[in-house]
Amino acid sequence: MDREEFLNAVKDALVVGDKETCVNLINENIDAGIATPLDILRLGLGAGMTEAGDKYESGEYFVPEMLMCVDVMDAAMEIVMPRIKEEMKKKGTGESPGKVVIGVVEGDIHDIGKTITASLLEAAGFEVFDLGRDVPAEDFIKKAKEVGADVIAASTLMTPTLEVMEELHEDLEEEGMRDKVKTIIGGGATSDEFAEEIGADGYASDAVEGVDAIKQMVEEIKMAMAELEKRVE
Amino acid sequence: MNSYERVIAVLEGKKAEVDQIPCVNTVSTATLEFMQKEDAFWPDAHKDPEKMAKLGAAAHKYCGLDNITVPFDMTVEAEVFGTPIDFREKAAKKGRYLWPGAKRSVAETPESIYIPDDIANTKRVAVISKAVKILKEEYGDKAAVNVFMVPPFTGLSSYIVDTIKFMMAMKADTPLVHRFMETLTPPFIEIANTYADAGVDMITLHDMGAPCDNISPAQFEEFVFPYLKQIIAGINVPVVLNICGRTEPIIGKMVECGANAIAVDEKDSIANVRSLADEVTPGYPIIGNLPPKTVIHQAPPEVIRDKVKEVIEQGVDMVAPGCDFWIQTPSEKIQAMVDATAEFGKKQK
Repeated sequence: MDREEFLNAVKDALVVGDKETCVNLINENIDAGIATPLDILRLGLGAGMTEAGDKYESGEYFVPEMLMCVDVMDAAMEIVMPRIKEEMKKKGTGESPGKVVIGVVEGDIHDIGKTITASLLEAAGFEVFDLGRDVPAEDFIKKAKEVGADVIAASTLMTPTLEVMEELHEDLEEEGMRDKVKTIIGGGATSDEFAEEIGADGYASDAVEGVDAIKQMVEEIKMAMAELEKRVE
Repeated sequence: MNSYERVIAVLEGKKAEVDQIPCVNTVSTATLEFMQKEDAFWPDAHKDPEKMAKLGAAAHKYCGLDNITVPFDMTVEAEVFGTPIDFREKAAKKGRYLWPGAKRSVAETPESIYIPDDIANTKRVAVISKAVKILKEEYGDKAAVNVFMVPPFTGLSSYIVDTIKFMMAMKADTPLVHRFMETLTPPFIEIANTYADAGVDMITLHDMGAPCDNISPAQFEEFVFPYLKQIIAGINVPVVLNICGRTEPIIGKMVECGANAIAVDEKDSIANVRSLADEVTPGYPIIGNLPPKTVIHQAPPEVIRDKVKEVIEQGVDMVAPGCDFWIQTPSEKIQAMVDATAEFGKKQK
């Protein structure tokens, strides 16, 4: 099996939700050096999650299918991530595109969309801090401070919990953190208008849109930083 | 005709006899203003039958909504089947009224689900039955009393079983999903008929976990449809099947479930739902679908009026919000929806 065949096989196994095949493929080949761990993440697993995301967008996949892919992704990441981290340490380059704190707000336990988004973000190379579900506003802020997050991503499916999103933005303001971190909201109960109303930086109607929006946000942060550096010079 | 007669006539398939399209909400009608007016706040109103009845009746009493609905949340059945519930007491003390949720999902297998022996007297089934009796005494022939329930698919996938495990089993272990559904279907029917015995006029099955945003039409047909059909056939009073989210691809199946009406939210247009339902059963009663937040809560009364006019023109048989009232909704907005329904919903005789 050559590099391309191997990466495609990893991708295909992920897309059909075949955990056993995917994990075996990686285990059998990762030490032979057919592809680097980073390639496996980006061109195998990452490409697979993108393809699954496209199928979800187009209505071919639904939540159960996506969850099968996320499950494969999680299992494969356990093998690949330690090696990537090791390599990065050796080379002294550990740059991920950005840090994202993600969770479902307090009052809601529907975390499927969030789980899919977190997985897609990881596949895109982000450092993801997943707080799970039913997360109070203060916990988002605490974690964001602790890790120096670039983006806070909060989701909810249920309308009564939208208040918590409002609270999150108010608290960020109070803590003087509003300029330091971008926010994005998503989930069935949210909308573009609501994001604007509470002053969120972004809104995404689903996981794939969410990842694209976060990528763009992080780009903006980097550009702003570069601009700032130029000015300082 | 009064509120009660209009709603019941539509549900009994006699909509031609109705002089006026009713305005209802088949799920939670609780708002902060109603809690204040009736001194019936959450979480007390979830557990105290007197307060539950007062809060449930408020939208009828103050705004003329044509039905009364209890309870106000989705965890009643999950609690009966052994799921620990967080009633958000802490948030309520700070003046924030959040919906109750499961503290955690405890059932790993169908066999491990707790099925109580005396279901009629378990947890809030007894509270709701008592609230129904209170409401029937006061509003018996004036407004239709509705209890909304969370059917097994949504109950299992959202509260009772870990959501991700349950949803993955739909791909990885389909017999397990069927065993879960088979386990809960008979006791669920028993709960519904406890309310029927208490005198409830209608039951709404709110299967919000089953729209096409979550599962495919094929999965709906395999894992949801047969059980809803069995449940609806087993309930002794009229039933509304309410699924919020995208439902156009499953409207036909929803009609075939055999309920007396279906309710949909704003993700689908009433015009499309009307024609899809008509393909299966011409004239089948449909209920919907004003957006509870962006229109009823936030828009000015003129916009509410236009929206009511639009859904009536497109063929609803009862005007309703797509889902629960947004909790901060001012009463005058609910009034605007009721008034517009009265204005545009007169039937020509």
